[in-house]
Amino acid sequence: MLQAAWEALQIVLSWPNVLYPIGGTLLSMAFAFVPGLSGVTLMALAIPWTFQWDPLHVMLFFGALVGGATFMGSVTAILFNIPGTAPNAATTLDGYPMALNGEARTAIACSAAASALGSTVGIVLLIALVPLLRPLILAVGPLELLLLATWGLATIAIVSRRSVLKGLIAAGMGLAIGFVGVDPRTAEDRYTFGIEFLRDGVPLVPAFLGLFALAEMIDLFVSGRRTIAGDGVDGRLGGSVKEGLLAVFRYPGVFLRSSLLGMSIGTIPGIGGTVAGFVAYGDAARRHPEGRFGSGDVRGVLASEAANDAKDGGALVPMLAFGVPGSEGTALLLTALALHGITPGRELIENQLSLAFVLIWSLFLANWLTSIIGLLVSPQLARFTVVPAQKLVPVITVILVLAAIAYRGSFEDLVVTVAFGVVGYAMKANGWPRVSFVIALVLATLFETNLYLTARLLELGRLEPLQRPVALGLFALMVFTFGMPWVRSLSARVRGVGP
Amino acid sequence: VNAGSWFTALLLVAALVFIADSATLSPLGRLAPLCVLVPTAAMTLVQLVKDIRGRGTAEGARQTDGAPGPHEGRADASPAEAAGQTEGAPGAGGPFRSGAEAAPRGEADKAREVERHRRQLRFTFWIAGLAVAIYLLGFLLATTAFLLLYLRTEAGAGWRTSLLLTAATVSAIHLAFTVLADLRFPEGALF
Repeated sequence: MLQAAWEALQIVLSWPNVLYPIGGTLLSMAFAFVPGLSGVTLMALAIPWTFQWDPLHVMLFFGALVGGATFMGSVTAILFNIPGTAPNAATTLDGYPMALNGEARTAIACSAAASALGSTVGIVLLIALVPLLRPLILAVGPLELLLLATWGLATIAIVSRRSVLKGLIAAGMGLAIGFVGVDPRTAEDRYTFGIEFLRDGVPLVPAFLGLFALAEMIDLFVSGRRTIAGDGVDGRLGGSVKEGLLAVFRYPGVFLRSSLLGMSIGTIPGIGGTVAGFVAYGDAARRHPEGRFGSGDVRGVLASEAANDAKDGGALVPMLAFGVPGSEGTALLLTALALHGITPGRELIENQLSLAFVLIWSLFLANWLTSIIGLLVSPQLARFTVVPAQKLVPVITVILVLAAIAYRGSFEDLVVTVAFGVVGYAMKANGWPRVSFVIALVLATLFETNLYLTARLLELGRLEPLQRPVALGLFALMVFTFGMPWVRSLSARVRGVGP
Repeated sequence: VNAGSWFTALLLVAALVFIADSATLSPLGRLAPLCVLVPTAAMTLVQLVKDIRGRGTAEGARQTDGAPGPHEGRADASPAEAAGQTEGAPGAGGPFRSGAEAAPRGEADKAREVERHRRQLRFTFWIAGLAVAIYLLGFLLATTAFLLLYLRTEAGAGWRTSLLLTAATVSAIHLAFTVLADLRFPEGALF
């Protein structure tokens, strides 16, 4: 295996092969800086461009597209509260407040370091897991996926711990919106109210653009602030690149736990980086109740970005082993590879292992390149926080409108963005947690599908929950997640320091 | 009844409409939605009662969204803002106003709230106008007109700045998406 890894590294770094991951990284960085567009959008556009390419070059290029976009998406999340890609949504929670506090450079540098090192953890674990791929994937069934989705929802109670009731209502509404569309089991239209467009369900990208981007533009307009950072902080960008970089080493526990969570969640098909980011963020917030999570704690940025990038390594696990995509990006990667006659699975792992490592090294190179380039340009990017806000509002609005329309070339997606923008602003203005709503929206399909499958398997007597160690472990994790805040609160009361 | 209650009431109505629509579904189709929606509607009713009684306001004021407002943690935030009372939009008025802001305030605060309410309505008109213009004129024409008009009238920019910023934005969009990425935007109904 080491021989194959070494051969692949030489292939990746040889001339002119190295140009493909570099070109892919730069392209995906540019795309990810436009809110709403992402490496996935670019991959979809690039598939027809690469029909004539050598399969090796396709591996190199697409590996870079998977890895190159995430960090730049965090830059827009930090500077504008607009996640460049959906998995960067959790980064807005502390990244944007840090930018408002004049710590944009610290947040961007922390994100760069967390991205590069997080992806390294993911890839190192991926390489270590190659011999264990098959038994690992086979241990996860509908019950485990249901428990994982429920655990994701349980983090809602943590994220919005100061108003559990509003958090639960927002989650319920998020799930309800997630149920909109044709029910795959009964073929019935659910909550479409006769609107043909809604039969495919509420599209997530336009909804996120509205909830996170348009809502912020409305807020920025209504606030009347002269700059993004506010009238009082013109030209006083604080924070430092060094401080951001050192955050990874100052909080090694947060970094390692988040990377491991991201990698683990990435291996589960369909869960995706958005959940990984929020789960890691929720975990960090729960473990550090003394922190300023939600108001500009660097550990929030560290947790979500480390998990985001570590999940890329994890997402390659089921794809390389069984040809099962773990995320949107790997689904498109799989499509591109299939068009060039490369079929992931046993054949690839046993006979073309060096080609699999080409993909892994390309991903690795892209993650480091994007962080280094992003870090070099971060002082310039950070200046965006002091640009005149009222002149920026129409420009960003036009870009997000463009992103909504470009998603599928549909005018209806723009309507979804506007509707969710108004809802997002109303939620923000009235103290309703958007985070709970978004997590539930992402998890709705996974939750419902696996609820039915689990119920059906139990009904048929084909499932013995007590004999599934992964399910038992997840159940214990859920009990722990739910129980710890109550235990802490009780213990504080006993000590007489609680409310 | 504080203004924040209206949003809770709207959520309750939405949940009830979804529940009513579930009656048209088969038992299998409505099982998971009803498992979620019935408790959600019940919790929303409890929240509405709390809001109306004013008990929800303090909670709403303390709570952070997880995506905190622009003034939280800022050095120049007012004491009320620093306390998280605005939860994002700083003192949004009208139907979007936080329950915490129902407390009596001075005339200056009331005037500020009226102005914020006006700004909410103005932005709603701008975004709705842009959407209608895109539908009628197509993306490039509509965004060009939107940018120019907005920058001149709303942002108070001079002609030179407005024209330059509009030209730069539209050119960048055209180059990146139409020329390089070969994306086709929906055409307008009129042009």
